[in-house]
Amino acid sequence: MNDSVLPERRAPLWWVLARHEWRLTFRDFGSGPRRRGAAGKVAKPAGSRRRIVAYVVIAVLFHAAGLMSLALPRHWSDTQVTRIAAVSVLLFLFTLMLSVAMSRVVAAFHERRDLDLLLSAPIPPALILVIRAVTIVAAVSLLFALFVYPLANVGVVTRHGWMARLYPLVPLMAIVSTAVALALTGAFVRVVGVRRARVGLQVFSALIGASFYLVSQSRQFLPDDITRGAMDWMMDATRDGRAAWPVVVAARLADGDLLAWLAFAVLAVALFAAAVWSARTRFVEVAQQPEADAPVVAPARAAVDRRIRTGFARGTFRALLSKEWRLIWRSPQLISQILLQLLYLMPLMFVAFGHKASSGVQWGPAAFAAGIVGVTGTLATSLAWLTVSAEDAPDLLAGSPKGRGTLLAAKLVAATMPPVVLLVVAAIGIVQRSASDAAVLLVFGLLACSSAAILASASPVTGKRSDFQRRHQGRGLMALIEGLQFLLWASASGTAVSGWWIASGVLTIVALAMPAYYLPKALRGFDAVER
Amino acid sequence: MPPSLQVSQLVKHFAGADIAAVDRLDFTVAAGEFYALLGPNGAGKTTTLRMIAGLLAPDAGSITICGIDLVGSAMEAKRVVAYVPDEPMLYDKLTPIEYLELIAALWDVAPSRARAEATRLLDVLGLAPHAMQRCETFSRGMRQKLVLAGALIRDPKLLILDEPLTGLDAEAARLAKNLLNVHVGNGGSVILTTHVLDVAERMAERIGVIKSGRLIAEGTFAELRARGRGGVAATLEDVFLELVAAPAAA
Repeated sequence: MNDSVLPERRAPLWWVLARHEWRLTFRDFGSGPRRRGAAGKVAKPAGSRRRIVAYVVIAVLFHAAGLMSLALPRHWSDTQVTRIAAVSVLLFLFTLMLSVAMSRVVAAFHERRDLDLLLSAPIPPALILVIRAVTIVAAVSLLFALFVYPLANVGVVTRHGWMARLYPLVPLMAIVSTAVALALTGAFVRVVGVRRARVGLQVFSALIGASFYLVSQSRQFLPDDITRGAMDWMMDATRDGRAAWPVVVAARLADGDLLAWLAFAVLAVALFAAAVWSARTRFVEVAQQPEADAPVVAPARAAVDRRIRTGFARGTFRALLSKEWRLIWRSPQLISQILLQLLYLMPLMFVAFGHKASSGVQWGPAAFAAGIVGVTGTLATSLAWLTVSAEDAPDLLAGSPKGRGTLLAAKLVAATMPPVVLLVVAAIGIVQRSASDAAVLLVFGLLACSSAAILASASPVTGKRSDFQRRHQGRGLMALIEGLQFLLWASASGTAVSGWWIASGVLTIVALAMPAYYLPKALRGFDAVER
Repeated sequence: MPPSLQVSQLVKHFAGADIAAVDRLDFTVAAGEFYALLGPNGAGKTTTLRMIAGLLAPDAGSITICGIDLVGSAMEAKRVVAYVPDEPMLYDKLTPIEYLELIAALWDVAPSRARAEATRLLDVLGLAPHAMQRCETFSRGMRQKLVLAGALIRDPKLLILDEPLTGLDAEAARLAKNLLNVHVGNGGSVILTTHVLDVAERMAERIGVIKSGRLIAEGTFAELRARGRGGVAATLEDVFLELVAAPAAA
């Protein structure tokens, strides 16, 4: 072998590992859904060059936004407002960073299947763990730096020097959130086992990510006396001389107190070291455990026979419905993602239509109708994507002697039944107060569900269930149309309940235009015979 | 009795490809026959099988299954066919019993027959202890066995198998081969592709060899061997390598 082609010096082990980690982490970020090709093969995700361009565009946009936001600080001279702002920023950053760190921990320790390879190499496991944890810190820092640093850059350039404090804040918060994420992962694995921990952590991280947003929107749906009480408590907690300790810490950090920053840095590093130390044995155990948590106990022969005796009597339609519902119901991760999506959506509807009545009613009937219609439509869209586009065995169904119409109809019924049940329950809930409101809710809800079914069958882009969260990537126009649909249906129902019939009529016509345009395409899909 | 499969002048081009994936292919599988379709990687075997299974529309030519024209009466033809792809496609969140239930419902298998066959196949393939366990924890071999059970529960007249023994251990491979022999013994037909030439040599009654989408040789193993230079001692591997190494006829 020609020695000249070999590197003169071998790269240090830590550098090799760090480079490997970084490559995998970077390639995880923002890759679109993997699509199946014509032969059922999974296509490559979008290239990294496009992602880099997207990041640069985002950075430029955030610099511009930062420049505009500098009009605000004049009002921040008030100490109390500064404190509230500092606590809010810290909390907001922490919840989001913790959420991202937890998903990174799940990806790095539970989803990537490279630990077997690395642990079988002559490398100390502790080094693998440390490098992996540090890479998570770096990934979280970089992601948030993208959003926070433009503000700091603009601040420094325009002589708002105090904003330079954001530079160390991001990595320190990333260290703390990674430490907490590692500790939480350990706790989850210990309590519920490896496989359930993965799902539990994903749900938990999404909930944490949503928590700040939900709390910030709580004013829209909580009674006035509760929100007023919370505000009073916050003002009291941040008053001079009485500030609670988290407020004091946040305020000192905001003031640029060097000792506070030093203490924060030491605490962050100590937390991180403790979390890595406590994870050192567990992380090897996790890698060694198989997918199943416990050895599966074979069922008694009688149980199998009984199950076979009671099954095998369903028609095709019922069998397909059962199959679709089982696949959804047995994926807690999917259910949590769908529920979170709805959770995010609800406050938006309340913001758009929330007229708090002084008579003690918590939200107006219009907001309720809009919220329920928006939620049922979105739920139908999500489920329709899962049933129509994310079919696990397309060849099995395509090779069956059933027409595409039968298969598609069963899938769409499976997708729209749960939202329709939700709709009926909501309508029953309000029928005594107002039968007309209940009727409006039902009509617009059913229209929203039908639109979802039409759009799903008109553009069935194949994907994998695990790509549920990334299903909109690469189908921008259709995703936009779907989003717009439910906003229109929600608005049409809200305006109808408010008695603004003309506005509702116009919105209904606009909303109907899209499914009407796609209906022929959807029907062609129904008629087509797979050959 | 019509042949189980008659492929005539079959052509398939993929967009962007210069040459046809399948080029004027002709062959016949008689009722109760075990036919092996061999060829090097990229020869067009899987494309041919997917067209026969009704998953891919041919550009030209015809496919007749048990006397039914696949293009004209796709649903009727699919009723008598079972296709086992090289990559076992299962529903991870379903149990084997639920998977077999779905297949029985899709192919309208009578409940009494489906129950009896499900019990038998789960037992024979050693899947009974895992019958109520979700497929997500199954090994590749177990998945392959379940897909085979799914194909056999429909009692197809023509069983199409694309690399059916991949991932199976020796015992499971023997079980699968026995099941296929029983299927042929009961009057069913099998067409399979495999790179394990030993299996084709011992199990197939006739062998077709394709290269670049064209049938370059067909016959019993003895007939193919007689065409080669290796004499009576030649294995199918020798004959196959000799055939695919020869330049394709224009």
